[in-house]
Amino acid sequence: MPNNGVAVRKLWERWKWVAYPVGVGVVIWVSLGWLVGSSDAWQSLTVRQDEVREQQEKVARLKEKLAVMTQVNLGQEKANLGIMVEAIPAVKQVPGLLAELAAAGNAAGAAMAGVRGTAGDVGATESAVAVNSQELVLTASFVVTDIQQVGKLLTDMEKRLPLLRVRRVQFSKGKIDVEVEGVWSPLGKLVGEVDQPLPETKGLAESVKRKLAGFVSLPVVAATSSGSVRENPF
Amino acid sequence: MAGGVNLLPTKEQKQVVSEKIDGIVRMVTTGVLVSYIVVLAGVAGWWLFLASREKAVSTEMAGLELDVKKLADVEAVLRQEENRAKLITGVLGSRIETATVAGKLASVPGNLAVEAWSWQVGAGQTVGVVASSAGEIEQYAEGLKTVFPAVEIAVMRKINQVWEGTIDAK
Repeated sequence: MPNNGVAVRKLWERWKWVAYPVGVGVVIWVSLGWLVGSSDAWQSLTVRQDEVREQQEKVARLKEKLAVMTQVNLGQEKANLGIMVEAIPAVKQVPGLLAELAAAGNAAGAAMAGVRGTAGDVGATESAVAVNSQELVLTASFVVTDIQQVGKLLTDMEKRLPLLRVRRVQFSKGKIDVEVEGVWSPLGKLVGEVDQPLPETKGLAESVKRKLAGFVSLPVVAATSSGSVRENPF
Repeated sequence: MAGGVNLLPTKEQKQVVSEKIDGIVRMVTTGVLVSYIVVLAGVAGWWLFLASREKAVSTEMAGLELDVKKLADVEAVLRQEENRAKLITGVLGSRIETATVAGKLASVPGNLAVEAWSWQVGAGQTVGVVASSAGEIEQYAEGLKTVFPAVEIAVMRKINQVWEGTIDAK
C-alpha cells in the first residue's frame, strides 16, 4: 500500500501542471454550453436586442406622428373634409339626388317628366329598398327639344355636387331618359395601428378644391316636387 | 573511460525546464480565464443595459401611444380626408362626361338634326338621323368621323319618302 501512495504522488507531481488549464477549460466549456446551448440565454439576449431596437423605431415613429398631429389645425381639416363630404356624401341621399336632377332640368330649361328608382317607380314600397340598398340609381325623364338642350342638361347635371355618374342616356322624340348613379360612401373607421404614419394631406384639400372648381352644390338638400316626382323614390 | 562528458540533463536541469513550462501554461491559462471572465462580464453588462433600456423605451412608448390616442379625432379626420379625396379623384377620373359626348354630337357639321341618341357606359352610342337622301346620311356619318374614331352606319332605310339612318359610334 505505501508503494501505491508513492506511485500516485509521483503521478500527480508529473501531471499537476495540466490540472489548472484542464480545470479552466472545463469551466469555460460547461458555462459556454449553458449560455449558448441549453439555457437559451444567448438567443434571449439577441431577441431582447431586436425588441429594444423595434421599440426604439416605434418610439421614433410615434414622436414624428405626434409632432405632426399637434401642428394640425383640426377646424380647418374638418372644413376641408366637409367640402369633400359634400362631393361624396357619407349617406345615401335620395332627396339630394332628386333635387340635383330637378335643378339641372330647370337650369337647362328641360321639364322633368318623372323619376324612377332601380327597384321600381318612385314611391315604391319600403321593401323595394332592400333589392338595391347599396346603389343609388335613378332614371329621370325630361322633356327636351334637341340635342343641344340635351348637352346643356347633361353639362349641368355633371357639374353638380354631390357627384353623380351618368350611366345611360336615351334621347328620342323630344324626351330624354337619363340613368344616373348617386355616389356616396360611408365614413368608415379608418384608424389603424397607433404607430401607423399619418397620410400626407398637405395640399390635398387644395387639389380637390381645384378639381371641384365650377361645380355647383345645392344650398339646401331637399327634393323639389314637380309633376310626378316624389321625395323618396324607394 | 575516465574524463568523458555527460550530456544527459541532470535532475535539476529537468526541474528548471519543467517549472518554466509550468509557468507558461499557468500564465496562458490565467490569460484565457481572465479574458473569458471579461467577455462574460461584458455580456452580462449588455444584458442589464438592454433590460433597463427596454423598460425605459417601453415606458416612453406607452406615454406616446396615450398622447397619440388622445388626438385620435385628428387622425380620424386626416384619414377620412385622404380616403374621400381618393374617392373624388376616382369618380372624376373614371366617369365618362356624357356632356362632352353630347357636345361632340351637336358640333358635327351638316344640316341634319339628331333625332335619337342612345348612349350607355361601356357600350358606345347609337345616333339616329332623318334625311331627304341616303347621301345626306352618309355625309353626316363622315362628319361624325371627325369627332368619333369609330363610326359605322348600322341601318339606312327609306320610309314614306324620308330616309332614316342609325349610326353606331364609339
